[in-house]
Amino acid sequence: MGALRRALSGETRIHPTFANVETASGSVRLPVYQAPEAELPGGLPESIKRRMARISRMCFVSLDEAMHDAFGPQLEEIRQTPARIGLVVGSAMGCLELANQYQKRVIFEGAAGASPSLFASSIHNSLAAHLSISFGIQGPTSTVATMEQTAAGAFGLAANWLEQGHLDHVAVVIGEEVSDYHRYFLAHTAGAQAGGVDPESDACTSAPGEGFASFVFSRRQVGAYARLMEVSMHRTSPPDCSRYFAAVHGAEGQWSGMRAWLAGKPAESHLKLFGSTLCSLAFEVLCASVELHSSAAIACVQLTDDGGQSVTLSKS
Amino acid sequence: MTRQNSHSITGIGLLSAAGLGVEETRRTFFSGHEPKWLDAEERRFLKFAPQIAWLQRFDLPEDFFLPNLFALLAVEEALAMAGLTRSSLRGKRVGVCIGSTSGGFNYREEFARGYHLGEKPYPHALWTFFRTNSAQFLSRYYGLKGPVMVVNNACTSGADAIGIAAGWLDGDQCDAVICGGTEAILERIYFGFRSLMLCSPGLCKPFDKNRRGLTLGEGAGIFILEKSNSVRPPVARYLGYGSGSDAFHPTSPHPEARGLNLAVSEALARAGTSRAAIGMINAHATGTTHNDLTEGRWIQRHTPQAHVSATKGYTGHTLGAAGAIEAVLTVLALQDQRLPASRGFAEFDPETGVTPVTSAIDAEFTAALSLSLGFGGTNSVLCLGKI
Repeated sequence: MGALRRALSGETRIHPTFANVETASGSVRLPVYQAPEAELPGGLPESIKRRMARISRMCFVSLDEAMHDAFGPQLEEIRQTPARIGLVVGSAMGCLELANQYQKRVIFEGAAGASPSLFASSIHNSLAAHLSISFGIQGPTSTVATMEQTAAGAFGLAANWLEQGHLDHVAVVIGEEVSDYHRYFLAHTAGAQAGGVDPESDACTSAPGEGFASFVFSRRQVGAYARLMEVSMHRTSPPDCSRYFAAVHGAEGQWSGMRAWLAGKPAESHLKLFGSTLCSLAFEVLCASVELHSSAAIACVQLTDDGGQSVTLSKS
Repeated sequence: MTRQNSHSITGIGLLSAAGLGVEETRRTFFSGHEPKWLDAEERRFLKFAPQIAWLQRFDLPEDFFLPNLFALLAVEEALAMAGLTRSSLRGKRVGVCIGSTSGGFNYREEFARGYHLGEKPYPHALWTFFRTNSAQFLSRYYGLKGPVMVVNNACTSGADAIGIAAGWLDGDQCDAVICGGTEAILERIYFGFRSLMLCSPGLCKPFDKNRRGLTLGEGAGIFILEKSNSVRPPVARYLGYGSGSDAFHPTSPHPEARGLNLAVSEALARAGTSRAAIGMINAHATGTTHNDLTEGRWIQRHTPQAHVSATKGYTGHTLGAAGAIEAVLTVLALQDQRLPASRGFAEFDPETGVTPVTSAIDAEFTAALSLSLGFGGTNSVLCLGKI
């Protein structure tokens, strides 16, 4: 969170790295917003650390920070009632890189190439499995993967679970890992070589981004970053709010579309901090949680093929 | 914990190796009819092979995928039962929540082969695959305006999708929901289960002493779920849902069924009923050593009075669709007051302590549980009731 605050204040700037991707029409130099290698905390056994895939490490580190941030010294006490904590993982692509590796081995080696550990790790809910085991979460655990509707669905599910009254807290972990397929796909997209994402350009500037944003939603209000006011899909108009964070990913014409939908109201985007991901709404919600000190409420909005979706936060 | 609202199941649809549609499946499980669809490909998968003539009934986009077709067939049947049509649904507040282990992601085989062989294929296929998950496909096909979600919780996905969808009704996020699960089996999925030494060399034998693993299957199961004040007559009642995590092991169940116990307790609390009131359990019963042992012991200890059906001998293990298909089979049992037959069971295993119903029998019961256990330590339970 310290790094995020520094980036939001402009103290640090995020720069993409560049990858050379071979395409049918030649080599493309593609900007990639790659997450730094996640360093696992010391308490984890080495045997677990060794087996954790890169995407699992990102999830773990992100949730570990959120859990400590939310509960501080009370974390151990919270863990005494593990069935009162739920977990929602949202990832449109999930373990695509692991699935890709598994598939590659099967293509070249047939059944003999099927690795049991790689197969198990490539299943979409394996991230949730690792997290529930690592954090001892025994309440409901669910993995949501609905493309650009993933983040809104994950937030909505967490809110529903809390409203239903059988949980005290729900941990929500949302994000993506850049895979070879992402790079390959975006290397074929016009404008992807432009040098980095630009949310306010109407040309395509999409460049793959990755990372996980974790949240702890609780029934209690004291000391919270924000209050979750509403989550909605299929909106025909934006929610009424004084400040908007727009989840965009640099697609052609996306910014004009967003401005038209917001009827000229100003919007901010943090695309340059994270790069393009299908779960960009989650990163905007993360930024809104931090930025609420200067606003009464922030609506995080996204336009999809199925209409608008929004997550509105207010001061706690 | 607050009791959840009960909801009306106004339509059901399913297809699997056990039959195309509700009536044919009913004959398989309740009348000893041998399903013509059951196609054991070298005894590895129980396959449901769609014929092109069926496809022509639908205004399908070019880039549809098999799991979506399975889901669509089941949805069409469920909608017809509920008296709903595509045109009557357009623009309505109807949600779609579909469970699947892959959600269509696996259908990039051809692209992957070209990619890994260095042929540099055009990536349009990737985009198509990414864009074609079952829930968004159905929501767009019917022009719906409710929440949309694909749930990827391994083998509990279908049950979870129904439970999550019921939560949308509770929260008045929509007026009705199309929910359930769908799955199509690919060879590499079979290779994965085989590498974990979970595949039976012959057809699976749930709860049998000599069981040696699972047999994969494919298909879809769908509910149309509406608030209990719906004008349409229900075929059964949705009473409650519970989910709990083992937090134990990525691929093995907790030996004391910790998560299952939590899930059942939660489902019963929401349903406002007790274990003693449960007359039938549709067990997850994959035919693997550990699943059946854990589940069987839990059933014997906590609900010894309940009749147990283990239906995967006919359907195969349909992974993300299993929880939904078995929920539909549980509805049929409640409707007919008849317990579905379990195929593959021959010899009692004193370790599990469960003797499933081997041929269909009549029974009187008002409430039933459908249990689902999955990789990742997920456990989900649906409590369903007779009208």
